[in-house]
Amino acid sequence: MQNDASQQSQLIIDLKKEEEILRQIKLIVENSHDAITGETLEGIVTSWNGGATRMFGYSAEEMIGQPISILIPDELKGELSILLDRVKSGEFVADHDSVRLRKDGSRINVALSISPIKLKDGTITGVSIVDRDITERKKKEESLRQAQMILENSHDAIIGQTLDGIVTSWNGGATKMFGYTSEEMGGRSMTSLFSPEKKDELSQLLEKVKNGEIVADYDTIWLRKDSTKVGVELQIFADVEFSIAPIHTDEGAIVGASLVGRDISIRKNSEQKVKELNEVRNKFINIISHQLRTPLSIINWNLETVLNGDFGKLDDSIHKFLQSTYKESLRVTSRIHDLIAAMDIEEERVTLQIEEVSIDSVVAGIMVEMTKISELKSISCQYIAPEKDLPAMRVDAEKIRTIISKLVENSIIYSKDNGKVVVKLFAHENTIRFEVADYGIGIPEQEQHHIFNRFFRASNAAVMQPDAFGLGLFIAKSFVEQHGGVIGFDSKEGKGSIFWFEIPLNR
Amino acid sequence: MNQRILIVDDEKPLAEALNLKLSHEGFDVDAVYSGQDAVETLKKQYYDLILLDIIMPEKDGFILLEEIRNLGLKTPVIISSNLNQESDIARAKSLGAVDYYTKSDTNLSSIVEKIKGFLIK
Repeated sequence: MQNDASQQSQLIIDLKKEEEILRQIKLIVENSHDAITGETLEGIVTSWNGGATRMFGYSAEEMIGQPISILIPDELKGELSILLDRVKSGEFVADHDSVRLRKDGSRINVALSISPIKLKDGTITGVSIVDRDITERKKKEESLRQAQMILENSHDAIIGQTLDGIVTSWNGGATKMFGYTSEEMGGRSMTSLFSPEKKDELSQLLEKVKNGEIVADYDTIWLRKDSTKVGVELQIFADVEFSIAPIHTDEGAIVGASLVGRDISIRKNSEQKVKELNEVRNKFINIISHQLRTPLSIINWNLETVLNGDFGKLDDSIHKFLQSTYKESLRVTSRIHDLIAAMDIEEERVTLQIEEVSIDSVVAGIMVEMTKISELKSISCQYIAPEKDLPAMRVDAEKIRTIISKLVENSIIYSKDNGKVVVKLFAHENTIRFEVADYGIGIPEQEQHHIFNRFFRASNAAVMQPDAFGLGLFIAKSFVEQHGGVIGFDSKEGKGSIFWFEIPLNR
Repeated sequence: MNQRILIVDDEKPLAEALNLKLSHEGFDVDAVYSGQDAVETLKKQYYDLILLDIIMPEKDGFILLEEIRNLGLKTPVIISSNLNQESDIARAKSLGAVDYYTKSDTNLSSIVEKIKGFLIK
């Protein structure tokens, strides 16, 4: 009896234990984040956990006894019976991606697992379905897919590689650029893109990447596979500008290199074209200028001879007439000289012919010539010579003459009639400083920073003197700088300008 | 006796303009229009000064400078330059030219002054 009693109490304990376990399982199922439901083999809902309520919006009361097909969108209705047939035959369905409808009609991406519910004798009486919400995963997959598409369709070559230069990814841009497909290049070394003389380039670059460096905008030429001729493999070159950067793991370890390359052959071609056009232009100007110089010299010399009275004294009116012809011819000549000088400067052909020169006497000589021009406008030209003799300087006399002539001539040209031009020469610290001041039209403030540019002319100067090149100051600046000097100015529109330059005494 | 000047320039009108001017200034002037003619003339006639163009077809000024020295002549040569190209001028000076002017830069009276300055020395 006692035995019976103890057996009975043991049974009660076991039952209670089992009850407790069941209660716990029920709680786990109820609170699961996944939707866990039971269905008959016909698909009628028999159980419905809290996860299902949260996922689909229906309560257990609403769903139990209803067909599960309420949750299935029309286009997928056939899918469930196929899956149920598989389960009926004893199979499990795991992680099957599908779509379900919520009570509010919205759609949700789920991964389904379906397993049979069996009696102890193995008879299948129903199924249990676990739905997992995979909306987030789908979103990530979709954005990844888009990123891959962008990558694949990029016009640039985008290549992933290990730190040993083995290709791990190869996009459509790379295929277009190099002619190899991703199948051909995947797992293969990048070295096939390098000509023998460049074979160290990759390892040098990867060394930088290993140190975490990014190499950007690097110009190079790599080999291309080109099989446009069937059966013939041509190697031709691809002009590439690329950036290479490390690929990090989440923990920061460098595991590979990403390489983005851009085909710059078109850009290079157009740069080359621009360069060629520039050369052609310069050559053209040079030829024209030189071809014009000889006939102009003949005209100038002949006029000079006639004007000098070598063929007999000229009538005053003829003299005046020829004099103005001569003046214009000299003007053309000097313009051509400016053009040639500007070309020489641009093409860096200018060299200095150094000799010992007294700059004082150069300035004095120029002032005599300038008086002829200034008198026409009744402008007084004053030269304030240095107080004590300046030392002779080692300079290119011709170029110094050009600089000073251009500066003084500008001052006269851009002075108003009856104006005044003052020229000064003096020692200043370790330099000889030249200054020319006028009270003319000045330079508009907003145009001042362009004033030494080739062919630039200030707007008020262009009005006053329409036919000039705008090369004088460009040439003067270049010549001053070639002597190691500095040129500058101070100017106020409507008030006048002071142009100056300094050339170091000990050059 | 007048001093003799030889002008060597393939640009005939330029040579003529110079010839005329220098003759007016009282020099005895001859003008030739090629390097070859210059060599022949120099073999026959003494000159106090030569005005030499650099760029001429066939025998240019540089070659001529060397040949003048090879003839053993000490005649001073002034380069009558067409291009104001410094490298040319430097080369001509290294070959013995004593001075230079650029034709299109220089008027006749300056050339006369240069020559007189030289011959008076």
